[in-house]
Amino acid sequence: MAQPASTAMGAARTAYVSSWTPRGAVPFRRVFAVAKSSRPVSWRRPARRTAPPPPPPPPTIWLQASSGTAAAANTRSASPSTGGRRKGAEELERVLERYVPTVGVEVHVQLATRTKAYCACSTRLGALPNTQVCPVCLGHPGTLPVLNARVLELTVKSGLAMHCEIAEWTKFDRKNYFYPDTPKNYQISQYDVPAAADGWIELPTSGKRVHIVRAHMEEDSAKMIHPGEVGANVAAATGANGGASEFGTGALSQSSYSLADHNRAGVPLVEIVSGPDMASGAEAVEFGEELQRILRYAQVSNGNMQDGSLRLDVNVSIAPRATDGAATELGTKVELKNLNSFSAVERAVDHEIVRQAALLDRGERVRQETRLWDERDQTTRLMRVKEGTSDYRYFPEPDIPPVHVSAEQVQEWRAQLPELPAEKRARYVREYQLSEYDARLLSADRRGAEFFERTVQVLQSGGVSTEVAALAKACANWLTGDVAALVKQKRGASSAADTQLTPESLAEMIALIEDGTISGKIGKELVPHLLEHACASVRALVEERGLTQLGDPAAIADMVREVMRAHPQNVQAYRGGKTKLAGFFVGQVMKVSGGRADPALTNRLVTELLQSESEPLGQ
Amino acid sequence: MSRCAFLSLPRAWEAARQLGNTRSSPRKHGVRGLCGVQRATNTRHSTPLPRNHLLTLSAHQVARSVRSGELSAERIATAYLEQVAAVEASVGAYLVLDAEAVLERARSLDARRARGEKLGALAGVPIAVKDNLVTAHLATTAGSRLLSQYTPPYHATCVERLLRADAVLMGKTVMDEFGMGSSTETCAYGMTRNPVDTTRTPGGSSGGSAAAAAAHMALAALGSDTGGSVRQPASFCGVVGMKPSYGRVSRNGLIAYASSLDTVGPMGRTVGDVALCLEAIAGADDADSTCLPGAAPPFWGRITEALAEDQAPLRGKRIGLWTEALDDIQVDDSVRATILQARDTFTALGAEVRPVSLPHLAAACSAYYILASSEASSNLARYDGVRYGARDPEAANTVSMYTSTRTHGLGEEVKRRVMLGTYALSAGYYEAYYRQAMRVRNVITLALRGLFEDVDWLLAPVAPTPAFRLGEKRAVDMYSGDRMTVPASLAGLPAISVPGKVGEGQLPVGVQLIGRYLDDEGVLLAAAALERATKA
Repeated sequence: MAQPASTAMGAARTAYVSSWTPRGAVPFRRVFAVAKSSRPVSWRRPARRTAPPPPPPPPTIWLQASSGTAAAANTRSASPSTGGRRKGAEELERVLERYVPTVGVEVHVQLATRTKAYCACSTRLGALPNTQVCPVCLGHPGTLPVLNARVLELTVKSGLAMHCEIAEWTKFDRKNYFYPDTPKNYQISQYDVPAAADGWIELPTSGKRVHIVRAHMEEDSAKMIHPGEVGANVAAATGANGGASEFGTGALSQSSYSLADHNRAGVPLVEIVSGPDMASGAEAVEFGEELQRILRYAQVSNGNMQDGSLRLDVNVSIAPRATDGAATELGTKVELKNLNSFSAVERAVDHEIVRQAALLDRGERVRQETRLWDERDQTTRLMRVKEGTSDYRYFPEPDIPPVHVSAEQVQEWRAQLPELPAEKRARYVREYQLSEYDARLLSADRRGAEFFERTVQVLQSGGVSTEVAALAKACANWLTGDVAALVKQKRGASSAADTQLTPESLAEMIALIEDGTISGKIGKELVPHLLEHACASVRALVEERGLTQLGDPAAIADMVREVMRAHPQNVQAYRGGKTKLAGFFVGQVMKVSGGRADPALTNRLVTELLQSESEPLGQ
Repeated sequence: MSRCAFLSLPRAWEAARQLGNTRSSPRKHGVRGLCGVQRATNTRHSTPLPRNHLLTLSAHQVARSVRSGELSAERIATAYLEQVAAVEASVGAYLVLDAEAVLERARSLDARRARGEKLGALAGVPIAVKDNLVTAHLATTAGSRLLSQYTPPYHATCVERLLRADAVLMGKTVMDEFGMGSSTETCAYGMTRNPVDTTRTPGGSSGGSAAAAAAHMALAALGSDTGGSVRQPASFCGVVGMKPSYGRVSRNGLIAYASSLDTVGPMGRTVGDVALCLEAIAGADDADSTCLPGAAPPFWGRITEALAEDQAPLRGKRIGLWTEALDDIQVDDSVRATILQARDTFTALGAEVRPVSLPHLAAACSAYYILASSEASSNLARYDGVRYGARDPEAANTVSMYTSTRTHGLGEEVKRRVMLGTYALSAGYYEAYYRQAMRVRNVITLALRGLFEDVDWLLAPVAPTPAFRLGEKRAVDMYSGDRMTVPASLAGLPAISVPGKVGEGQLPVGVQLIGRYLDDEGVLLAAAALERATKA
């Protein structure tokens, strides 16, 4: 054997030549070109920020609940985007006098699994393009899908959390359509036997039940990026799921090349379809927000809209309002896509209602089509016209045998579900006598709710004699007021649980206010510190900083006299009948005492001394 | 048309020369140059019988000798490469044969043995693999132009298991494109000729594998059987071909044609070789959800034992003879004679052969072509030029790229079946075609399940005729030729084609034995008993 084996082998292994190259070879990397930047290319234009609604007024009282503020807060809507009157709101109102809108929602939720639906690739976000791929999710010849058991578990859990019936036997089907983001050119989905069906979600403010038609498992597609093309973000966003058959008219043909990031291909999704039970953008948003809470509570998904873990597509139709106020019959529906935030959902739906009304008013027909929300122009524009229904040629997926979900298994998964937001809200109202508004705010986030409950629990066990409802109200006020306002400013924090503050220290602080050791004002000053720094003992902190409340009547009376001497005209005016000036004196005493003076005592002494003619008017 | 990926075989030729065989000088980059035989013509002739006795050893004998050191794997590999050099030009069984890699592999086995390692059950056994089983770093085309530039990133499970059993992978064999055909004529890189008569087809779609085994260009081969693609070429080439129960062998790495029907099956010159191969590749696989749990039974050992102890294993067994298939007027006399001969042999072995009527099976072929085409239309959708394989880079947009790539990349027969399947699954036709075909499939499955309550095996022809001439039949005319093999495919049953007794100078005819679901062992046993009695 003359030749060294290695070179011969090397040549042999690489020397395959093809007899057929269609008009020249194509380098493999052309499709898989990786973006130069280490950051994944964003396919969304940053949404124009609408000013966040102002935080609720800070609590002015602590243990003694002020019904005034709570009532004021209650008038606010739960929806963040309904706070102010928007442009076009009057127009919408005029339309609603004559038309009844019907809104249904289709949601794609990325399940919180570590690996993909049918292979073992990671689902982690933010990796370099095409680094979390394997032959299976790239659709290579000969590969077979193997169902990730967690996908079934999370889908069933989401179904249970939405009061759905769980199918004992479920199966997968192939949805066939050609699109470059779909590696196999079919999506493994579920057609006639979804894992869960026929449930409901209750909208928190109205108590309205929205029907859940079905929830089924499927896989995500690759993420397409069409560089250099106008409106790349919108076109790219539509590729995923149901983006069938729009190629040729869309962005693909306008870009000289396209990139496909297969990190997302095969990521498990649950598709949730609601009934056409909503009547406005605000209701669609409320449904979406409640669904998001449920999914987060059940730990089915992180539910983040901005990174695409929760994608809402909305179907909107309108029909003339009959004399009894009901719709005559359902109108032609239009599907809205590219809704990357709840505020986009609301604005797009309302915009679409007005657009359809204008068409009908002009005597035209609404066409069955898919429209994209354009965040920049605050309008919808045509993506594709649906001519009849697409023929996806569904048939049973022969590579995955039918799946049996036993009753015991369902029971086990049901037992793992936590108390869900609706149950929690009801319990807060019942057990803590909180307002529904407070109950909603406190239960918005599972960890935040747990923080709240733990704080109340610590206070109760700490021997604070006050009624549980009052304790809960105090905790609620702190958490929804000062703490919430500060949390909002903290990046990546969604509740007190994401800060250094602990239920124990918050409870201790509240107890210190309760027993008069510190004033509420001092409490408000402590909160920012406690959010940033771990604190083993609030009492030690307070003592170290000399923040304890002044409760000595003689010392406070001296301060009052000092203030009276400094402001003789005001004393005169008070005694002349301008009793409102008492507040001025209290404020000044607080200032002099550095906020430590006992407010009740100060109030009493200020009134007493001002009314006592014997007190000197400055010497 | 030319072969897609033949490699130069300088070292194989060198090895052959050193072993004292004189051959004409190999031309570079072509296996044909290595071959001593002239390019095949359309005059009938058989490929020469092997002169080297090493080529007549069974898989078990080879493995045992290599394990013990009695024979080196390199000697075996060289003998087979010489045979390839001698007959490949007239047969054309291989699409890819890397002689260097074959020898390298054989030497590495010898080196491992020399280090004291215990080698596996297929130690040094040269096995050819159908080109729809993916092989890492080795071109895999499934006989399609569209995959002409494709090199898989992984091994099929069955290939990996062969390698784990220390087999020597000879090369990839010619096949009908994506397994769609019954004559190995739809391969984009040229056809294979039947080694028994080179003017005839080896059958298909595993024609390359059957021809390689028949012409001693491999000791055994893997094929795939969707509707008869292992059994029919085995029958045509006079070798044994086994379609195991659906799920017995992992489909991971088998390029899908019709997923609910596809099976990987071994082919060889004896039932024993086939049993040994099946044993190596069968068993549970996490990568295939349709693969059955549990390890493979020791097929080879069990049938060897049953036959060796002369226990008349077929005594008292019941065999059904499928009367409709035999009465079929289109069935060739030699086929009928062979099956009746097999009936007599079984009777002589103590089995009771009774005629059975299976009228439902008449619909099998229609149902098969609807279901297989439907699944194929979806399975083949991924060959679009986007991710791998060939592509038309000039296309102006995605749709025209798809169209052009698939128009030029896929052959006529593949396109026909994709269109047929797309049609059958379309809204408005689904009920009449796909759903109806599924019903027929259920009826057939139940009919066969009922049958196997009364009999142990079903005896039937494999195909209505022996090997027909190349170019003799149009593709659609071959469809009905599958009518005797598709029932077992639809029902997922194990079935084997074992050479029957034929007259002097006649073309080979296979005898088909279909068994109970999961009774692969029984099928192998009956076939082995028949084989021994036929050869005796």
